[in-house]
Amino acid sequence: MEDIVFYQTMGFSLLVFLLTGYAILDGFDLGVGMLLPLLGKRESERNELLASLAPVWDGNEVWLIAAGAALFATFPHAYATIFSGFYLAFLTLLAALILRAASLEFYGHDQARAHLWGAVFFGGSTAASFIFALAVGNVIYGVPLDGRLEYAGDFTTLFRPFPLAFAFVWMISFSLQGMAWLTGKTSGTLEERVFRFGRAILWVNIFAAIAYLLMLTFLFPRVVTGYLFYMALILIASGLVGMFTQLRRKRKKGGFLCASLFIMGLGLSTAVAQFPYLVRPTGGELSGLTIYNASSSLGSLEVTTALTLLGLPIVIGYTVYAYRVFRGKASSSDHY
Amino acid sequence: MDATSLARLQFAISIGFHIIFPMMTLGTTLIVLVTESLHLFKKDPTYARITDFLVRFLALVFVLGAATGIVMEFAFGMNWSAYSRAVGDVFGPVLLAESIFAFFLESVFLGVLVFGRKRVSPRAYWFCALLVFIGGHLSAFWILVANSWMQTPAGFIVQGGRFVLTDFSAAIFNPSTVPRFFHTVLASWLVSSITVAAIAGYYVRKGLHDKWAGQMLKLGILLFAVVPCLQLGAGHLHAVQVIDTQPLKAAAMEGLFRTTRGAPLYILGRVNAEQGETVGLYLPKLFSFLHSFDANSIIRGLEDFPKALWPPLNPVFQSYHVMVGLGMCFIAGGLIGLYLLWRGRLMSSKWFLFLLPFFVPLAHVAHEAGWITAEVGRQPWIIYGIMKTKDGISLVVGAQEILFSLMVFVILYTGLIIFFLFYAMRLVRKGVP
Repeated sequence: MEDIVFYQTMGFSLLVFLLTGYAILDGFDLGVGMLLPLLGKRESERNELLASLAPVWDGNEVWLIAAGAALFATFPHAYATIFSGFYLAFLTLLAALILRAASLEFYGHDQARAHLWGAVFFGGSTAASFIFALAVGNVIYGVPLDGRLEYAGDFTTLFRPFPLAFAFVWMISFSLQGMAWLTGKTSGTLEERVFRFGRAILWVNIFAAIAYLLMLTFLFPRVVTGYLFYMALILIASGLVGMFTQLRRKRKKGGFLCASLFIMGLGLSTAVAQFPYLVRPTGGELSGLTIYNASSSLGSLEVTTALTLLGLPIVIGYTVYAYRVFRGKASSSDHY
Repeated sequence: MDATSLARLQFAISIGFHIIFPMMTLGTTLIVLVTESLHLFKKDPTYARITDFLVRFLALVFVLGAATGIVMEFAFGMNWSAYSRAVGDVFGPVLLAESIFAFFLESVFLGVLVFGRKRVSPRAYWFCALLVFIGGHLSAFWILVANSWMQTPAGFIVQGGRFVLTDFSAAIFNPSTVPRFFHTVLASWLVSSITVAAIAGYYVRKGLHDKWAGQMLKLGILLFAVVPCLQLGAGHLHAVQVIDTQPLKAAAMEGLFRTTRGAPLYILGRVNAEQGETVGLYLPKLFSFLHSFDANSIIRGLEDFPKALWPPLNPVFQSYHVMVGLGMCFIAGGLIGLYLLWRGRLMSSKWFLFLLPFFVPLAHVAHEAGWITAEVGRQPWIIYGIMKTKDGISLVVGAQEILFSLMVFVILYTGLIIFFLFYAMRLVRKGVP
């Protein structure tokens, strides 16, 4: 039995890794989408903002698909309960993801309807970030489950104060991530605007992060006993301090790395609070879905672990290559 | 309608819509790889212009394929959670392998292919085209593994209602994976070669972009001539596999009621389920002959199986015959094109160039018909012979919720296809500036 616990823990770590990767990479393009009306006052500015995303956003979204598949493979019970339970919420998420993908592509094809597609991209990015974070917030705070461990709440159950606050924290961190991405990708008045709003968004993030960590320690007092939580605190603090100096000195480089550290810290602290739960139950008498009762068999978990250890380093390698190809400012010739 | 029927309808609509885009993607990555190879080795910029044109088309198609593909991954959990709970052990790792070994590769390098021509060396650019080609085909492989496993499951044992993985490679290379992979990939190559030939034919007919349009037409026609003939072989192997591993489905495809020595092959017909007979135009003994090259071999009929397990007969029979019939048209069309090319009359045969665009929707009808045969033909099973479709649906999702989501998808997809066609036409009219 010792054996399977190791692989179940690996499965949980894999999920945390993929979801954090999603928050870091798709986080910035979701963030840029949410900030589009705020930053892109003129059409040329909106072109510049979206051109910086065009070559890379597709690959970013695969992190979500990989996370979904990893949940299916490692903890099928949790996958089945969450996806069927959050049916209408996930329908909205799908619609938002489809619309934002299509609108970004259509934007480049149609100058006459650029305004429409820009607005759809904003709406899709905002809704997708919100629902994604709201869903995660719910499984962390806890949802009603029945005796078969199926979801027993309804659509409105999802909109409780903690999950809403959770969604807000992650949405605002995506905005910071988007800002950090843009510091190296913009110029002129747009760049000035990025730095100006960047500072405001950073302050909101600082307060949100403090409130969030207090909330976690209050709801799940156990988190303070493990060293990983303190590592998360260090990541969060160093990321925020790094962003602060970078925005203050108006440096173009390094911001993205700092914001990524911040997101990693947020992800790690959340993971520490959640372990070993996948779906926390609201009623105390139920076990909920944990990595122990929701997992695949040992043989299957071994296959998944092997696939991941073999494949993910290669993925990370060529992702870094692709980002290096498109480093620096997005030129207008990059967009057709 | 009950929840099962609505969930099936929603899955059918969302996958039937999704498949249009990967079908256009795969073959286009092949053609892009060919034109970039020619560009690199012949140092001829004409081919680079063809690549530039096709890559824009590829970007548009790929984005819609990716966006509608997420729906499929979510659908297993949202609508088929009892199925997901039972099979996650075997089915999940296959989907994960698809993400990690294929979809990342395809998506990341497609970004470089579409936007990076000026940012990387010609060799690196060619290598990106190769990786997008490999990534796309690997992606198709893993997804078809998942589908094939539901058709001809292998590599597991059932313990307390759950499928437990015992042999991953047996699950991957289950009996229908390889034939299905070749059949589907060739279908995609066919769609793309016809599409590319039709677009180039339009340019040649209108006298636009003369040099590169002519090269693109030649390339498209060569593929159009070769691929349907290869498909004849791949389709044959797939059909033989279905007769051997899913005999009930095969009997439905040909409307064969009684187990027969020397079974006939229908060209056109109609299955009458009540009276237990199929009427129509047929070639005697050919079905048996094609199965084992023995005109007197025995093929099992529907009546060998309980009636409760029969799939809907006419939909399977008709869709299968539509697919095969169109396949024969494509062979004829491709060979006529090849003949004209060989005689040097292709560029001036305006009637043929005018007809080419009509093959494009037909190619999509053919692959949709093939999928209807495969998926309706395996009903009432979600995992062939082991788990019924009605036992796979989500317990907590009601019929009304599914009806609502179905309407959302129909509205969304109608909008998407309208704008897709609009922008695809616009790309074609624009050519390469």
